[in-house]
Amino acid sequence: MTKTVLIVDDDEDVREIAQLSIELGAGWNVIAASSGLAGVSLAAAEQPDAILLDVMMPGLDGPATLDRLQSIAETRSIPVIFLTAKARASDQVRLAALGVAGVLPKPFDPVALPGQISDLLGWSD
Amino acid sequence: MWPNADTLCMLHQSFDIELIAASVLIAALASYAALAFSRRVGAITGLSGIDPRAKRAEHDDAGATVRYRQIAEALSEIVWTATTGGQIDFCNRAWFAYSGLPAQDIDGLGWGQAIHPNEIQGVLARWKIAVATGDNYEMEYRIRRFDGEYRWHLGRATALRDNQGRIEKWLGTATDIHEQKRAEGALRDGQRVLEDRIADREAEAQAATNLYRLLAENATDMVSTHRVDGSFDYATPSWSEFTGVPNDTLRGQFPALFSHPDDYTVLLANYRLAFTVDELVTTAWRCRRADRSYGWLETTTRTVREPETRRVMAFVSATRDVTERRKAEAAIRQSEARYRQLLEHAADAILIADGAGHCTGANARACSLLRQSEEKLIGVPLRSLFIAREEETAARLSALAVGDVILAEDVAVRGDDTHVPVELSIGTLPEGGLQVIARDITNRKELERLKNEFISIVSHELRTPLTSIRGALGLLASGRLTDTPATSARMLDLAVSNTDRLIRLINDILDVERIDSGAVGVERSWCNATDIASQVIDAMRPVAERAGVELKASWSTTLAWADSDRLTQTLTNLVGNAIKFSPAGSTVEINVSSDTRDVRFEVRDRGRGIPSDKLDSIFERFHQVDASDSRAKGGTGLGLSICRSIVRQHGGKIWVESTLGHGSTFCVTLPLPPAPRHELATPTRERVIVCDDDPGFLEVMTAMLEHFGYAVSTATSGLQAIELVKVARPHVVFIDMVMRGLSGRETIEALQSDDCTRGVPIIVMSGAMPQQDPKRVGAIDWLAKPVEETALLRALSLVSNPIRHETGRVLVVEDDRALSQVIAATLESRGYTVNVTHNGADALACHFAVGADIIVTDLCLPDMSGLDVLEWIRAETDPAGLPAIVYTAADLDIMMRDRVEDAGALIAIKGRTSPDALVDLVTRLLNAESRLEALSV
Repeated sequence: MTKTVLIVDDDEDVREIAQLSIELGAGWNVIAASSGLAGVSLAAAEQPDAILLDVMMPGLDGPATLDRLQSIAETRSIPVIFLTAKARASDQVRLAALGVAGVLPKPFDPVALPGQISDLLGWSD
Repeated sequence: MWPNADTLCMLHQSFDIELIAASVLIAALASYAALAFSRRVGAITGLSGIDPRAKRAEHDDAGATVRYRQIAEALSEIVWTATTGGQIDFCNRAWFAYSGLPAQDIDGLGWGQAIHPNEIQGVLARWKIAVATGDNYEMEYRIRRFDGEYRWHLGRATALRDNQGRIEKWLGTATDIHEQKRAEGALRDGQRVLEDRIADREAEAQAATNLYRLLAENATDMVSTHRVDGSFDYATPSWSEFTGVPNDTLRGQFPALFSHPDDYTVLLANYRLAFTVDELVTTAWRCRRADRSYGWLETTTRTVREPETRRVMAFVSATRDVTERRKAEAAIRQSEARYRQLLEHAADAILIADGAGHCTGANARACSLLRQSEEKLIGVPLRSLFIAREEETAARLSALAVGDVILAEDVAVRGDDTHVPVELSIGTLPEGGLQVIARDITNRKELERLKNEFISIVSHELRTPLTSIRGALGLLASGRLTDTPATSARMLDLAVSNTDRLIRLINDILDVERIDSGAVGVERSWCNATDIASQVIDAMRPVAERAGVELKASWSTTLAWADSDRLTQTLTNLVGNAIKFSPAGSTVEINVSSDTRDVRFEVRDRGRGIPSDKLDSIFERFHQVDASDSRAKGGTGLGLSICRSIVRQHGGKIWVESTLGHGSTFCVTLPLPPAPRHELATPTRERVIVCDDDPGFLEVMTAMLEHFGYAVSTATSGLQAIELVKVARPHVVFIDMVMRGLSGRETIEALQSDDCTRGVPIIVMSGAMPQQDPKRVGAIDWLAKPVEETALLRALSLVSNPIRHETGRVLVVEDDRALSQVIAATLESRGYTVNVTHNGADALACHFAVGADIIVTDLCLPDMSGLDVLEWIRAETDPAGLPAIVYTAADLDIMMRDRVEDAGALIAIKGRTSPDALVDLVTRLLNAESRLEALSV
């Protein structure tokens, strides 16, 4: 069954490119939200297989959105991958410790992105 | 108890009486004896002649013997008789009663056994001499009484002689003089002891006096004794030395005479106190020295009292000069006070702890930092005030043990259990214990946090467009989009727009950093604020039209003292923001106004407004009201921060006034410089005419010229200018070369062809750089538009200074060698003799060697101030005679200007006063009767 990935990012251009990368590279369905709040409701409604979550967003930022996702029964078990422009290693370690499937840095390689997501989620098999 | 004199006298008297009595007795006995012997001799003689007289005489003789023996027996004194050969032949009863010896024991020398062994030899020897010579004698010796006691007697032996003087018999007496002798001896002993004692006492007293005198007179302390009234009785020489009053004069004077008036009372009070108490009383007082200055003395006084009545007989004082000690004490107190003050006013918290690490003191800052009173802090272990980790504490202790000073960051626990980050400096004190200096680093930590946050945000902001660029190009490069040209084109679009965004971001970040760090200075000049605002509106109009926003401006022509590029950037930013946040169909208003102090710009929008808690923070970097605005509105989040930096660099202010839902007004004020006080290149209130068909330009020129003190008339056409020149007879006419109607060249020709206007100085202006010598068009100078202040001043200076030959020596002191050459050349071209030096020392040397008629000096010289040079020279020469000009680029404050004027020099500002104008000023000063006249030209 075709996987569905939810992209949550406040930057329209990044959403568009990430969506294109995944659709072209892996053929998964992509749904997108431009804010944390929108992402949570979309996740609850659509039950995606994974969520690609931006970290620095106005309003509900990445970690707060993650918190919200984990507090809701419908979204609690959906694996989340942070896609972040936070460059410092310490930031990445801190983010990884929040209970996510992985942390991917921005800028990302659009060709490699689907593979990286599969690796993190164990979808490669 | 020793006998007193009276007793002794009485003893003497009784003794003498007894001796006299004994002598009388002896004399009586002797006469009786003589009589008896003579009769007996006669009888003897008669017996041989059977003389009846002899018989009677014999009878008489025998009777006499009996009688004198009876007398002798009646006497209490010992009486004896002896033969001429020295044989005792009679002793009276008194002898036997006294000596207790039997009668037979007096035979021969038997009596001698009663004489004291110490004296017997002497007595016998004397007796033998007496017997041999017949001399009477008298001696004292002891005779043993019947009870064995030896008692002193006065023994006398008298030779009884016959008519021929031959010794018939010896008569002796012994009178008991024991009591007298003993009394005499006792008296003698007593006197001797007394004398010995007196001698001893005198010796002691002398020794003591010598010692005390030696001590007192050689001691640094001043010792004195005082009479009951307090006056000096005796004072050591040190008193004389101190007061300058000779010792003999000091005697009888009162110490209070030398007292400082303020200390008189305490001196008197303590004198009274000494009276009542039997203790040492110490008084600190100021005593006048020989040189009339006062020194601090400490006098310790004790009363000397009569032992039985306790009546005060005198005072003894020891006085010490404690001036130096008090000075030292005062210095210590002062030093302590200073230390305390330093401690109390220290910006850092300072804690002192004992060896065990318990707090023993804290300054005010420590109390406020730790929110504890000093009383509460005392005794508290440092360990509980700062919460370092155990291993860190151990490391600190070992470092302290070897005397290191520890610098560490820590967290202090306050009295209210809150925490505050601190930087600690811990060191050991020389007297033991610890000194802890704690600095509140909350602000630094906050700055660090902000910096980290800034870096984090910048990193994020830069990476976001990069993500799109990298992603778009990555997809294009992968070849997956070859079949979808529309998507490819879209990706290229994304790449390009994000590259632009990245460039804007980088520019803004660099800009804000460079402005904030001061790397880029603002270059201020007079600029037309209205023009700049107008240009900004023109530039932003397309943006506004796209957003459906109308731009509206209202202003009166205003000059600003600003960096026009930076001002444009600021206004563009503010107008751009206003457009971004304005709903379509609304209006953005731009106002420019000014007063004497400021130029004010206002940009008003009708947008959503800004919450009051964000009114300040929106000027912070990346602090947009809504972070999504950054991309939604295409901003970088740095625009307002940049505006604020620029405005601050101009010394101006920027702020926003806003009502939520009704829009915001951003306000900027830029200060205008104070009008220069002596613009020496420009005479005051001379009329100039400016002719230009651009009203905006006319306004700028008018403002500048008025600022320099000219009265300005403007003409918007050549014809108008000609008429004005005829009426006003101006100092100079500025004519734009490119005008509608009569051109600049035509206007000049008209002016020169009319007798009324011929010869008026003309300066031409044009947007293009001058193509030819201004003289070719009949002008004295050519100014390029926009007109720069310095160029304008240079041109003006040419107007009033027709070339003529001058004489005089000018000393130019200028460390800028290029400028000094220009000044020197200009001066020389006008006939002056010029000496140039590049520093103050050379200038002084030059002036004193060859002299000068006027000095032109820079203010900032490598070795001293130009003002110092002038003050040096003026101190050595006629202070009013030598004219001088301070030629400086420094923006002098009022105090400095006053100093220059006090030094009698005029101020000329580089950039405002051209070298030509400077030379004019030199000429004016040298030719003027007075400096005032030079100024009033």
